[in-house]
This record gives sequence, structure tokens and C-alpha cells, in this order.
Amino acid sequence: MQMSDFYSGLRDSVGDRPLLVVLGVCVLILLLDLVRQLSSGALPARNLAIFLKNGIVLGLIVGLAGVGLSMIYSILGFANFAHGDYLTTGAFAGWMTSYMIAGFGAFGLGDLFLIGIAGDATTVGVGAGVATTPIAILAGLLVAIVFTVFLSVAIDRLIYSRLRDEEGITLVFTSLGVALVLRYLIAFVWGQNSTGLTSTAEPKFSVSSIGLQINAHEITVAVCSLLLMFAVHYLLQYTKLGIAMRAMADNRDLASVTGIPTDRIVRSTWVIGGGLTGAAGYLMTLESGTLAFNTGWTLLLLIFAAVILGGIGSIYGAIFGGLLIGVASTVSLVWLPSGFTQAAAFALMIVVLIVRPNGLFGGVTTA
Amino acid sequence: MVANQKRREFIATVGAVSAFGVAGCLSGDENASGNTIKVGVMQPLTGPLGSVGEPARDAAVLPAQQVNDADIEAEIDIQTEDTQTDPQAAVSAAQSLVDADYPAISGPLSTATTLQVLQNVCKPNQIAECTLATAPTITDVDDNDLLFRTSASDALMSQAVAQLANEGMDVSSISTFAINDSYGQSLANAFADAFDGNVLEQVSFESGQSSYTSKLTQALSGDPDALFIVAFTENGIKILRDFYSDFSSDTEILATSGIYNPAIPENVNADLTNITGVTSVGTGPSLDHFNQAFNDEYGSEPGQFTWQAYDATATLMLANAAADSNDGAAIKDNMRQIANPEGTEVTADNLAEGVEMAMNGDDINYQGVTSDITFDDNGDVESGTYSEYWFTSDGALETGDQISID
Repeated sequence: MQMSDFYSGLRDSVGDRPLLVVLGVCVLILLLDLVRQLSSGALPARNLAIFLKNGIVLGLIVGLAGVGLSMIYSILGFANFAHGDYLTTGAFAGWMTSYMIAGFGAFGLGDLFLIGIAGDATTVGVGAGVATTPIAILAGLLVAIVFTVFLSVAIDRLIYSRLRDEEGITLVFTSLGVALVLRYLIAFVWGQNSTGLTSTAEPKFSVSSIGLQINAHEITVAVCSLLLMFAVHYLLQYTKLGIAMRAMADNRDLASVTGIPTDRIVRSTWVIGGGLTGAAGYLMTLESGTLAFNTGWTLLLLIFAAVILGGIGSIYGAIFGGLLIGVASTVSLVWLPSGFTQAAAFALMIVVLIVRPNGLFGGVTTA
Repeated sequence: MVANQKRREFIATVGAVSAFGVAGCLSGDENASGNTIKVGVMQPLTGPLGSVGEPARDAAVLPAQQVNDADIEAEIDIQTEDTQTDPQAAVSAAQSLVDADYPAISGPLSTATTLQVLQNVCKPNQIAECTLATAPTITDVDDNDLLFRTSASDALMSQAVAQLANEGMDVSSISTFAINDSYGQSLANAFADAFDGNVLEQVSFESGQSSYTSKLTQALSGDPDALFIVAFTENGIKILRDFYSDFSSDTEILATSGIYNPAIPENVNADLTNITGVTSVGTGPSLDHFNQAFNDEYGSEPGQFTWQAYDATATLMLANAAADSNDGAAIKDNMRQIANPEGTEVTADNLAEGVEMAMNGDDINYQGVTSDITFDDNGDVESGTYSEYWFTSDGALETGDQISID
């Protein structure tokens, strides 16, 4: 009897969600093909390991940047298009600090200020890196966080707070304006060419069984991102501020009525979201080693994809969505020609949205 | 200081624009004067090609200065625009040249900007365009014969790289790693056809990625003898950083003009001795005069694409003089007239006299900086000369043998 119940239950759920079944079969086929390629040697294990490593590192950065975007959305209800440029600004502030500390005395302050884009303080000369100049890197990360916090709070005070009651579309276009102003202010000072920043002589750790190499910068990025994500998790779940933020995300009026100081919560949201964004910008540059005035703007599309895929408003969704997008954009090389990797990441987002229109963690706001 | 330079440029632009506005009000229709030869110059002064575009712009305005300094009837009126290496921005820049009645455009540099400007501005308005873009697609594009180019097609470049790989370096298997646009894809495909050996993987990449390691892994998965990279300097920095951080330098790297840039060793921070590349060089009859004039004017050595840029402006100027009108259709009809054989030879040395001769209706034959400049039916030059280059262990760029392809 139980077996027949099980089958009829299965039949019902299959009947209800034909799309899900088709997708499940597709995923199964891809996984089987992956195993086949690995065992036949068509895909060396080392290649898959490199794809996964890069996907995860990219995903962590995108996820970290996505948390801030998602928090602002859940508390203030608007998509901040200037988010990518907050990231760039944080990265420039942080790297300027790192260069000033790492190259102090050896180069003029003016040259260090321009982080090798012009002047004598080139990558080779300064050689900033986790192993070579750990204090400069740590200070840079802190300055990136603090500067972006100040920037985002200041922009909120100056611009967004005056538009708090406006429609979403007004805010979206205002944030696009803020994005352009920030980006071209950076371009005005540092120019539009990208520059190499980090030392390439970092220690590497190899997993000898598959020949995978992980360098010190990648480890730093992964550890810092995970620590910051856990910190946000702890904050939201176990502190008074976190509870207040969740309450406000659920129902702003109700939160206000129960005596939660909503203005202070909004400011705290910018502080946390801005800080995480600045950190993401600095860490991304540490990993990729190059920085340009439009780095954050280029990344913004991926960040939005991650946040939407995870369910906009959910920070766990942003983290998980970032990882999924990052890994999809690299592992898809196993099956697809190289021109389609970016497209594959977005196709995955569309498929997830068709199955779960609110995203993976949709409906669970902030927490 | 970059800041100062930008500010100066900004002020100069504002000044130029307002001066132009005033001039427009005062003189009215300039076409009527007949002695003013108008040429618009477009180069990427910012964006991925900015570092190449600035010297190219300097070279492109040089013919006008030479003629204006000489004591002749005609005056050259030149206006410079920035394409930002972006097709959209290039179209607006070209449109502003057309709005200011410029009948011909010298430049731009990249294939994508050239094609957009051709389709959206030059064809509708009958504007002659002399580009420096190198993609083979330029040859066959439907252009109403408005489009010319002074640089050699990458169909020739791909043969030069293949010849270097096959004969100079004895490479038997290779993968390509090319930027995902019309320039990169057509060059990589033309190379794959010309190369005599195994092409293992053809990988394409998008510009502006935070990591290229995964795609490099894919390209190098068959363990090829060499990797052929087609990238601009901007992407090249990031790609080479990823290459040297994760892969063995035993793999030879073949490269094109994009890697031929001192910014590469400054920003990559690795031993680059496994890179060998080819870059286009000027070998035309005017080369020495041009080098001298460029050095006198700007105090620096002319680099890649300066030769082609000079030739582009010079041919458009001469064709304008021969047509005796600031009319795009008339200019394009005179391009072969002034550049191809038969006629008095004109070089960078006697350019002003050449303009006078052309205005008098004499038959002239422009002998360029890049080559002797002879346009075929497609508006292409007929041969390309390239120079082999490599990096020394302390990061200096060195050039070696020349490779000529007809």
C-alpha cells in the first residue's frame, strides 16, 4: 500500500512540475557526462579543479558585494545601480593606502597616490602583496571598508535620504546618476587605463595529487570573504540591531510603530552594506591584480544576477547566488565553447527564475 | 600628473569647442572658400586602445601642421575627436565631425568603431573614411567605396605569424586565445587557416574579466607547443599575469601588436622571454622624413600605427585638394588618383608642394610612410610589412627581422 502511495505521490508531483523533472534530467545528464569525461581523460581532473577554484573565488567576491546590494534592497526597497562604483571607489581608496605604506620612502607620495598608472611607482617597484607587505594589505583593506562606509552614508545623507518617499524608478535613475559621477571622478584623477597592482611573486600552495596551485592571494580572498559573511550572519541573527533590521525589512510601518528607530537602522544598513562592498572591491583587486575605473561597473551585472538568482532581499541568497553564478561561468567550459561562458551563467539564472520566480531564497527577506 | 594632464586636455577641448563655435558664426559656409581643406581625425584617446591612440592622433594631425607651416594657398582645417575605443562614442564623435561639415575622416583605429562609423555616419552622409583597422572583414564590407585603409589587412598579419611559428620557431601544435570581437576572431581564424600544424583549441574571451585562468586552462589543456594571444594591451596585462601565475613558461607565446607595448613589462612583473610577436612597421619611402618630423614636433619616437595614421590624413588631404572640394563623394573618387602610380612622386618631405600640385590638377603619386600606398579595388593597401619582436629578461622590447607579405 505504501509503495502505491509513494508512486501516486511521485506521479502527482511529476504532473505538477514537468519543468522541474526535465531540468533534473538535464542536470543528471550533465553530471553523468562530467564523470564520463573525467574517467575517459577527455577532461583532466586538474582542469576541473582550476575551474572550480576560480569559480568559487569569483563567486565569493560577487556574493560579498551582493550582500550589500541585497540588504539595501530589503530595507530601502530600491536597486542601487551605483553599487558597482562604490566597489571601485573602495578599491582605489584601499590600494592607494596600500601603495603609500608599501612604497613609503622609496617613491614620492604623488607617484604612490597614482598607484602606478603614471609616475615611477610601478607594480614591479612597489611589489605589494600579502606575503611581501602584509601590513600594507591589511591597512588597505581597512581603509577600503571605512572609506566606502563614509561614502555610502554621505551619499545617502546628501541624496537618497531626500528621496526616501519617491517611487522606485526615481531612485533607480538617481543611483545611475551617482554611479556615473563616481566613475568619471575616478577616471578624471586616475585615467581610463587599467593598471597592474599586486606582486606576482606570492607563495603558492599546491595540491600535488591533482596538480592544482592555490596562491596566497586567493586564500586571503576566500578567508576574508567567509569571515565577513559569517560576521553578517551573526549580526543579523543574534544582535538587537540584526533583529531590528529584519523587522524593518518585513514591515517598515510596523517596525516604526513598535519603537524601532528606523532612521538609525537605515544608516546602519548603509554602514554594513557599504563596508562589505568596499571589502569586496579591495579583495577582488587583490585576486585579479588589476584595477580600472570601470572594474565595479563591469562586475555589477554579475552581482545583480547573483542577487536576483538568490532571491533579492536575502543575504544568504546573495552569497549562494554569487557562488552559483561564479562556478557556472567557469565550469560551463566543460561543455560549452569558450564564447558562451558568460551567457551560460545568465542562462542558469533564467532557468532558476522560471522554476522559482522569487529566486532560490525568495520570500525570506534579509535572513 | 595624470590629473593635470586631464585638466589641461579638458580646458583645451573647451577652448577648441568654443573657438570653433565662434568661428562658425563668423565665417559662415566654409565650403565656399575653396582653399580650406577639411579633414576630421578620430582616434581612441581613452579606453582600451588609449595608449596607442594618442601617438596615432599626434601623427594624424602632423600632415596638416606641415602644410600649414608652408607658404601655400591652401589651409588645412583639422578637428580631432576621441572614439573612447567604443563604437557608440565613435558614432557620436563622427556625427559631430559631420555636423561641422568635415567631408572626410582619418581613422579610427579599431575594427568595431570603424564599421559602426561607416554604417551610421559615412554611408548616409557620403563621408570618405580612411581607417587604420586591420580586420580582414574590412576588405569585403559593402562601403559604396567610401572606406579606405592605410594599414595592411590581418589576413596578411596572420600569414606573418604563421610563417614565424612554422619557420622561425618550429612550433607544431598551437592553441589560439583571442578577444571576442570582429578583430580577434577574424585574426585567430585566419591564423588557424594559415598555420601548418595542429590547432588544438580556439578559445575566445571577453574583455574586462576578473580572471582569465579558467579560459587559459581550456586553451592549454592539450599541452600545445605555443599559445597565440590576440589581445589589446589592457586585456593583455591581465591575461599575461594569469598566465605567469598559474602556467609553465615552457609554452611559447605568440602575440600581435597589442602586446608590443612597454606597459606590458611594467604591469605584468614576470620573465617575458617566452613571448615572440609580430607588429606592423612602416617601410615606405617617406619613413625617414616622417620620423624626423615626428621627433621634431613631439620629441618622441613614433610607435605603432603612427605611420598608418599619417598616411591616412595625408591621402585624404591630397584627395581633397585634387577634388578641389570639401565633398566626400569627390574625395573618395580621387583617392586612387593621388595614391596609385603614374604621376609626380609626393612624400612626407614635399607634402605641401604635393597639395599645390593636386590643386592645380597635376597627376601625383603619394609615397607613404607605411608603404608606397597603392589602393586596390577594395580600398586596401596591397602588401604588409611586419617586424618580429620579443622581450629581454629585464623587460626591454626588442625588434628583429622584418617579414613582408604580399
